[in-house]
Amino acid sequence: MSTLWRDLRYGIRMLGKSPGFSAVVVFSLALGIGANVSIFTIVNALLLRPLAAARPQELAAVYTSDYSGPLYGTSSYPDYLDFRARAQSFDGLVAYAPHSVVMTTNGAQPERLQGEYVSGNYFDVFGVRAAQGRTFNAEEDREAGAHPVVVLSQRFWQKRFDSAPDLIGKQIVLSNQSFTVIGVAPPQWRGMVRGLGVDFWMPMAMEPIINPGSEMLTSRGSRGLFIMGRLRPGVTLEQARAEFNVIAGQQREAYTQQWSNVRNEGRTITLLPESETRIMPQLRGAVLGFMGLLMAVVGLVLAVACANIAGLLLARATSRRREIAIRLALGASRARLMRQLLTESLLLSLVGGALGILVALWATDLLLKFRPPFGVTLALDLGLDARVLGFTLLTAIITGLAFGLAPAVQATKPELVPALKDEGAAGGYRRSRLRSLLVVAQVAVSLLLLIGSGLFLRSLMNANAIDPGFNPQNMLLVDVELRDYKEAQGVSFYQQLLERVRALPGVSAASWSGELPLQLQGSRRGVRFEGYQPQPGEDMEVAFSSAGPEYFRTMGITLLRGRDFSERDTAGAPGVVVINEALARRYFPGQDALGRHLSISGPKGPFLEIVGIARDGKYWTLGEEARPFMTFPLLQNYEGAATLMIRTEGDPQSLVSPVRGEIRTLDQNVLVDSAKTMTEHMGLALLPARVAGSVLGVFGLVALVLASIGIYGVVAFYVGQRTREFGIRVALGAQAGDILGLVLKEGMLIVAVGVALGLAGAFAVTRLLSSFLYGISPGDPLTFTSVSLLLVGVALLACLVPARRATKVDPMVALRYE
Amino acid sequence: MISLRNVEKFYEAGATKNYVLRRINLDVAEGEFISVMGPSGSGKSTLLHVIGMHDTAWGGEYFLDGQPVHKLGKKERAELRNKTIGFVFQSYHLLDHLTVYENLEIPLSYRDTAKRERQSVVADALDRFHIVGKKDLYPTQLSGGQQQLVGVARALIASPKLLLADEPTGNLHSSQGKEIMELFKRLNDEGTTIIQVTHSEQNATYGSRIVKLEDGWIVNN
Repeated sequence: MSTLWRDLRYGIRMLGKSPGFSAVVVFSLALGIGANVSIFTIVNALLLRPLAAARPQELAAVYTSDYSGPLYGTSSYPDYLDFRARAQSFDGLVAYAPHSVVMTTNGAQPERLQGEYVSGNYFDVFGVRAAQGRTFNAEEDREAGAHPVVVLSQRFWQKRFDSAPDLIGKQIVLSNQSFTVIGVAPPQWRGMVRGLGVDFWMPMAMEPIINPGSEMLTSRGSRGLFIMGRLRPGVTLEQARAEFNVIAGQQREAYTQQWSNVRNEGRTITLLPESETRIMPQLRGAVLGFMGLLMAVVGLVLAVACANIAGLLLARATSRRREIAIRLALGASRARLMRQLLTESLLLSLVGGALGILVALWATDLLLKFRPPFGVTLALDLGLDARVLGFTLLTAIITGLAFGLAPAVQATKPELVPALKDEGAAGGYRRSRLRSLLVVAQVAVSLLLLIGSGLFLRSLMNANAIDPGFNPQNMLLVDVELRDYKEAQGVSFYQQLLERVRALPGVSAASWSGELPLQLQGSRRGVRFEGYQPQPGEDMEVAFSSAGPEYFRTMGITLLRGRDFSERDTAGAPGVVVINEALARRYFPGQDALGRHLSISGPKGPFLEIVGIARDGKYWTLGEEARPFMTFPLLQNYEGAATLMIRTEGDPQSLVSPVRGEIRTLDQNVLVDSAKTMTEHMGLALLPARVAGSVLGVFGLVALVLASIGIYGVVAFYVGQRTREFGIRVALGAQAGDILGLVLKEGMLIVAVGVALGLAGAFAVTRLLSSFLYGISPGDPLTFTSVSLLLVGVALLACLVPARRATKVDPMVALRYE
Repeated sequence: MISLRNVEKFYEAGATKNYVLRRINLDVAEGEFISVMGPSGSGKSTLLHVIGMHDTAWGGEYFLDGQPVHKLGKKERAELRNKTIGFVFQSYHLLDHLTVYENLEIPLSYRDTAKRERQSVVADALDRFHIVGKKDLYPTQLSGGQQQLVGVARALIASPKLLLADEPTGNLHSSQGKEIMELFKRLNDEGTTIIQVTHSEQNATYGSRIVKLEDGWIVNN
């Protein structure tokens, strides 16, 4: 122990003696480890940290398979009640459904809140006790609308009510209903959808009051509930699965239509442990893949930092050659000296790790300030916990060993006699070769990351040039929500507002859209086409949206045949629909689809007439292939929320205020969620490419900076070692250009090998990215060439500094010095 | 104490061998004080480093304190060296980042001596060499003579039977050199066997025997 302490003390002293070196190393490590801890903090928050419930290992989620097949679907309320009544393997089953409401307060703008409808046993089964007041009792979830009570989240209580201690028992107005606040949840309880902020919880029995006419609590076909339960002590998940297989069979027997899927087979029930449901199972694979990619990228950056520091330590080992030789001559064993050198490395990496935590805290704080274009708040618990600290410690130790081991091995086998005789280093070439190999690796990795980034950036440029099938320029989008309107009132509101907005100066066209294009996802529904006989098991669900009068003209979508929607396409008029070319090709091959009919209410109709055929466009994502799509008139298919789409003659932003004014004139309680331009909205579709490009770009640049330092270090070391030789060369008549060429050749040879390896690696790895790239091959020659040239340019600069120093060697000084 | 039989050392330069030591046969009895002399490049320092086991690439037989060094493995050689030999260098070779006290302590720590014993041995050495007042100074704060004094104290700290000194006064002016040589004489009188490499005829007179080397051969013994 005392020798360890002495090694530690000596290590601190050695590092203190060379503050510049220590600072460079610690800074590099703080960046490298900080990047890793940042990403791990997100992985921890998303995937590793258990639900903040009591004994989370006893929890399991229950999924009913979807109509179209996927296993992890949501369930209906009547099914939930059946499960609860029959399942013996669970101590308690809870149901919950995310939803949003509008809170109105006297004199203030309406606010949108995110919350969950929950079964009355929700908090009890999870073992969560209120921080203030109380949670729900069973009685409060029994009778529809009987108990308007609400529990607030700690975050919302603090942010919106300044942690008011007297809020319990007070009323708040949600969707025009008065609710009594009965409690505040503890801070660690953030609801069930990881990453999204929850403001409140209300009993499921209040759902019909919030959504009049909703069938969520009564219809077995209305499937929107998530179910999770606590296994009875001693019951295994396998036993529970077996029981639910039986229940699924019973449900199919009793409710054959609702429990059949698209292939007319019975739906299944899947149980997953809590640990596999922290991210929705259908997204889990993608999230794991993305997080894995990020961890690999930051791991590479740390590897570059390690290679860099190992290079610096090797250079330092040369200057410590005499010290090491003396210690060996005084009786130190090699193991003992390696231990001491590794102690110094570990000391550096632990300080770097500690600073890395600060870097991670800063980076994650920045991430939480990011507002994604989804209209929701990010609320990930990105705090430090034992797992993050353990990861940091482990990373720091592995890092310290990784960059310290090779230099320690090298340093502790000096040729003792020459070192003691103060003779020059024999075998120096071997040492510098290891350093050169490390720099080669750094150059290769930097090039790999930068090429990845370059491909994403080029892809982004291509994506911007993709024709979405409509004109995104000069278009303002205003989301409007009419929560408490009856259908007739809502339709009238839509019509009146459209008239008023069209009359505003600067507006050339306006319409409504029930669902905006390019939201990365969309809705589909089952359809029957006149004269088309589906094959058994054929997927007959088609993507759709609804739209107001003159929608196609407003959007700039070309109608190939037929007509646009008009003011006359209302509920009383014959049902109509506009389809796209892809739909016509698939379901009416070789026929004229115009004037034909389709039904969205089953084989018996009613049937809607196809009145228009639009050119194919992009509906969900920019990268998608042409998909069949249909558009219904919003005035025939009323929805309580829609987006006002305004084609403007000038800057769309200049119309935000006048449009809001018109909305307030009609009804000042209508919630205007957001106003944005279509190009801003399309940023969402480009978000994955933008995030990937930025992440790889930032880390690629960090790696490039580190590699440049490495190149500089190697060349500077080379110049230092050969000062006498340069002096002799100059004395013999060498010109500055000769010396410059000599040094640059040495440095650029390393760069050339690194670039060659990096290019080979990039060719192999970028193939994995092809599905994320728009209109660009993963081996794009322009990207590969330009990024390589950029790297070579930066490397040349890094070589030039020490090379110029070499040209200034004074032969007299150099020769006397030796 | 030391017996060298046909010890040879050479460097290969392409197909040729450049001999540094040729068929060295040398016996040193316990308590002797030997001066090795010869022109530059004659192999003096190399011989000293072979005896000190810093140099391991040589041929022939070498017995130290009855042990056949040429047959010992790396670990046994290190143990024998740590137990038997102290080394004084021409350039002192003190560790710049350690104080005088720590420089003296370090050979003991490499021999896993307990802390309490280390403190006592170092205190004795500081006292014996009259450098108690310098114990917290760093080498760069000492004169050349003082540094070599610490170097000698460090070489003797683990009570070796054999002291090897490679031109111990080479970097010192004459009065400092004389002090060191008188110290060596005293140590030898107290029983330490000493082998020194020196260019100085005067320093050689402190010893009991002179061994002359030329081109790697012993020319007078």
